[in-house]
Amino acid sequence: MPHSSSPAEPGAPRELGTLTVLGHAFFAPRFASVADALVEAHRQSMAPVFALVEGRLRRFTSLVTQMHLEVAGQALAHAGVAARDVHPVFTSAYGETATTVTLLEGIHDAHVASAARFPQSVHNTPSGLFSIATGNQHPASVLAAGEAGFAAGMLEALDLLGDGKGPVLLTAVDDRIPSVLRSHAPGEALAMALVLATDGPATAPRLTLRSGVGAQLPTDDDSLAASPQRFALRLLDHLTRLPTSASATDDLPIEPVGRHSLSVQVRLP
Amino acid sequence: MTARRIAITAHALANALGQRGSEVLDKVFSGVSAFGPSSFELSFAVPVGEMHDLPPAHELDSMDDTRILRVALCAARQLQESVSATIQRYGAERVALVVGSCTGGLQQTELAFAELRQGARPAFYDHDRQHPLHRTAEALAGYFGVRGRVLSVSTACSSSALAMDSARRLLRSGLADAVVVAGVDSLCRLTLYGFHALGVLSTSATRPFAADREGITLAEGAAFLLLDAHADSDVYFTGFGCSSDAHHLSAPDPQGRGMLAAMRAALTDAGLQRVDHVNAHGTGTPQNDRAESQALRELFGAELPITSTKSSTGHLLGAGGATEAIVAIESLRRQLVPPTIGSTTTDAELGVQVVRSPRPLAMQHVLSNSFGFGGSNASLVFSR
Repeated sequence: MPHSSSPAEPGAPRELGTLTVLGHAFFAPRFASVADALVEAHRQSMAPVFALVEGRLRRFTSLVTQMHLEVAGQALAHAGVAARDVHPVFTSAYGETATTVTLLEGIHDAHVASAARFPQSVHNTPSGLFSIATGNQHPASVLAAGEAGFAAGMLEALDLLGDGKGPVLLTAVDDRIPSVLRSHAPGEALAMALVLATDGPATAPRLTLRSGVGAQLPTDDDSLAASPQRFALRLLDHLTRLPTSASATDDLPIEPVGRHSLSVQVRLP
Repeated sequence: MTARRIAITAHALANALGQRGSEVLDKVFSGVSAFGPSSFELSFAVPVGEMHDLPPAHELDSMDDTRILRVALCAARQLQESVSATIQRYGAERVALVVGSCTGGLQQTELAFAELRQGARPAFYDHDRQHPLHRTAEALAGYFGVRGRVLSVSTACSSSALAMDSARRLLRSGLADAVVVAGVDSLCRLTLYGFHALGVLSTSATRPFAADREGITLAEGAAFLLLDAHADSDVYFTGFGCSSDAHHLSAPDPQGRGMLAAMRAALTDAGLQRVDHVNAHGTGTPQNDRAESQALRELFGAELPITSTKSSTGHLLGAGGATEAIVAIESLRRQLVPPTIGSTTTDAELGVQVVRSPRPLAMQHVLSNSFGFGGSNASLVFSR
């Protein structure tokens, strides 16, 4: 990406850069596909396999961590990229909330915290386990920006690739909020991953990031509306329907309309 | 100024040593700590660096008056004038904010938890508004009037060190002209109980690099830095390096290989072979100090002056990286290495030179380390 040497004009729509999608993945316990998630066609809940992690490392992992690792493995396989080679960017709005609640229960009830669970309460638990399980020693970016988290991850990926650090594994994952903390609209457990590069095969989709466009998503039903990962879900929907859907020339928002309104144009070369 | 040198135009600190940056720094550089008993309900007794008499966050909505934001505002207020001037210069949309934090509003959830478990919903509690990590950043952005990109970085104890890199990326990519970087964490029962369960809390004040070191002294605090892509300064952020241990979730690689990789990458990024001083991660645990010493020896030899200012401030978790960045910057400005206190002797097996009293030293470059759970290693370089 070009380095700025003088202040830029605020607010005007501008193109930030283009990424190539080498692979993508989706997982949700209650949805068999992205399309099912968008229409809330539930299935009997399924647990992630998260085959990247074996043996004792799997113990005490939360659903959030398992989903990060599930879609990471799927996306890497789809891309044909080795796990050790990627620069990881993990994003989540709420992180390890379920593990936190379990720990709080133990402290409240017995004045004790689980030594096994405590290290898995940090927001970077998935990236830590990913590096241990795969031997990946690249720096991991771990971001939390609410509904703008996926957009923040895309920007991070764009910058990493501009620095010559690629391919990039980008995950966007959140679990439902435990009912003890929020009794209404817990959201949906959704997990998505992209493997991104500067260049790729001729058939690989290209994503052009643009800011300041102001596009909006269609209104979602309550459970999806409460899910901070609905922007990533919409992008995955488009990717999974290629090439039968028309290449998007319209801007697909990847964060709420607001100050910067980051959006993506999806194209097949 | 090249794109790789980022000016630090202002900074602010608040922790148990004081609620004004000058007070905190004077105590760090003269070798003073402020550890005492915790006021949190615990089944064990350990010293902590707790902030007392926290002013309410009256500038924010009452629902944002949480412990973490009270801690944050103690420092944020000191930076407000500088940020306002920066916003005037570039426009609010061109100033971004990046927060490094581990706990976010967790302490607020702790306060409400007994009632929450009974199915009640205390009037002071709102999960979405108070608990998530990004809410601290959003509230601070509102306080400052920042309208650029706002995000949080959370990699345990390296959080605000990585936040510095995220900020630098925003500047280098042209997405911002200035970035407010913050490291903030408050004490809470979960972290106290958690570290106690791991057996890494020191029963008396932490003693980094000492032969009888036991572990960490947890603390809370906030540190803010204002990074500017176009300004000049006397001290610059010149290098960053990061790695993943790929070893263990809560223990460092005993060989310090990931730490070494991060430091090497930071030196390379800064275009340096050496630095004049290292502000170590230096938590005071047997494992960290041994691994870090090994990495330091391999890279710099046995004579480079190193220090751990966690002996004064305590372990500030996500706020540590930004706090120690400010100490590194001030080391350069004062040409003074702050001491590692708590012990007068260094474990001879570590083979490093730990500064035990304030040491005047001609310095051009300082490196600061922050290492976290999940094997996240980060090193920052600052230069005159």
